[in-house]
Amino acid sequence: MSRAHRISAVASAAGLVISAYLLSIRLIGVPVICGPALGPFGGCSKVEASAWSSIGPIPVAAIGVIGSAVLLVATIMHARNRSEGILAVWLFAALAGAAIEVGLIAIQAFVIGAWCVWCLLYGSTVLVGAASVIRVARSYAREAHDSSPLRR
Amino acid sequence: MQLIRRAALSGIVVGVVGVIVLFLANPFSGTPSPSMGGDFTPVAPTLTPAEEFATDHGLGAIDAPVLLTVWTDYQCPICGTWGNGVEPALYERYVTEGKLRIEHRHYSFLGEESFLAAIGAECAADQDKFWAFHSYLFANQVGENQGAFSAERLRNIAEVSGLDLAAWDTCVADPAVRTEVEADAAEAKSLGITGTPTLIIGDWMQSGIPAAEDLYARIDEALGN
Repeated sequence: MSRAHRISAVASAAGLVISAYLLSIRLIGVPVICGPALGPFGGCSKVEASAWSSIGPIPVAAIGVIGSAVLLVATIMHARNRSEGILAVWLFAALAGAAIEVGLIAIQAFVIGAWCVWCLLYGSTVLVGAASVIRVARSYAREAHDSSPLRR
Repeated sequence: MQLIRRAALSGIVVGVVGVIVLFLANPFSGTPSPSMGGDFTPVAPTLTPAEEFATDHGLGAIDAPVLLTVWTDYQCPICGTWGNGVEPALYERYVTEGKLRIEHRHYSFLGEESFLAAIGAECAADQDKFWAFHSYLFANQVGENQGAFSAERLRNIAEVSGLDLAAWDTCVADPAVRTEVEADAAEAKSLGITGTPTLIIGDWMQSGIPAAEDLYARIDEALGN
C-alpha cells in the first residue's frame, strides 16, 4: 500500500467515525461534545439546527457516512489490485465529496454564520482523501505515459 | 486514461450539482416559510401536567428527593426531543410518584428567537404559567430563526397557554427580563456547559440526551435504589 493509499484510508476511516457520530446525535440524541467552550468552532448546535443539515428528510451526515464508506472501500480495493476502474470510482467519489465539502464549509461561513468543529474535521478528512487520490491518479497517468509505445 | 479523466470531471460536476441542490432545497435567508403565516394555531404539547406539579420553573414536588436541572435553548432540536419525548416519560415514571423535580434553566445561544422565547417563558413564569408556555414552545419548534418564535407567534402561544396577554405584553417589553435571560446564559458558560440540553443531578452533568435506561439508572441511583 503506497503512502497516498495509507493517508486516504486513515482519512476515510476517520471521516466514517465522525459522520457516524454526527448522524447518531441527530437520530438517537447521543451527547454533543461541542459548544461555546470551543470558541469560534463551537457552533455545532447552530449548524445542526439549521435547515442546511439535511436535504429534505435525508440528514447530510448520512450522506457523509455513505461517502466515507465508499472512499474507504475504494482505497483498500485499489491498493490491492490497482485497477483503473476502481481508481475511476475512487476519484469520482473523492472529487464529488470534496466539491460538496467546499460548498458546506462556505455555507457554515457565509450563510449559517457558525462553525461546527466536527463538520470541519469531517471536511478535512474528505479534502485530504481527495488530495491523496489525485496524487495516485497523477502517478498512474505518468506511468501510463512512460509506458506508452510512442515513448519507447 | 480516458476513463480517469471522465471520472475526475464527473466527480467535480456531481459535487457542484450536489451543492446547487442543497441550496435549492433550502432558503438562503431566514424568510418565514408559508407555515409561518398569521393564522398560526399552536400545536398542543404532548404533556399537560397536573397543576400541583407545575410550579415556578419546575415540574414536580418542591421537596422531591431528586432534582434534575435541565439547561436548554428553545430552538435546539435535541432540546425539542427532550421536551416532547423525554420529559413526558419522566413525568409518568418519577414526577407523579413524587420522586423527581425537573427544573428548567435557559441557555439561549442559537439566535434572537431563542432569547424572545426565553423572555416569553420568564413572563409566563410571572403568571405561574411557565410550564404551559415552555411545553408549547417545544411543541411548536420549526427550524431556527425562521419566524417560529416571532413576537406575533409567541403571543399566540401565550394566549393558548392561558396567560393574561396585557400583563405578558408589558413584561416582554421590560429590558430587565432580557437581562435575566442573558444572565442565565452567562451562568451556563461559567458552569462549563458546552451544549444543550445539559442535564445536572448533583455532581453529575451531561450534555445531550442519555439512553433512557441510563437516565433512569442515574435517577434511581440518586434516589438510593
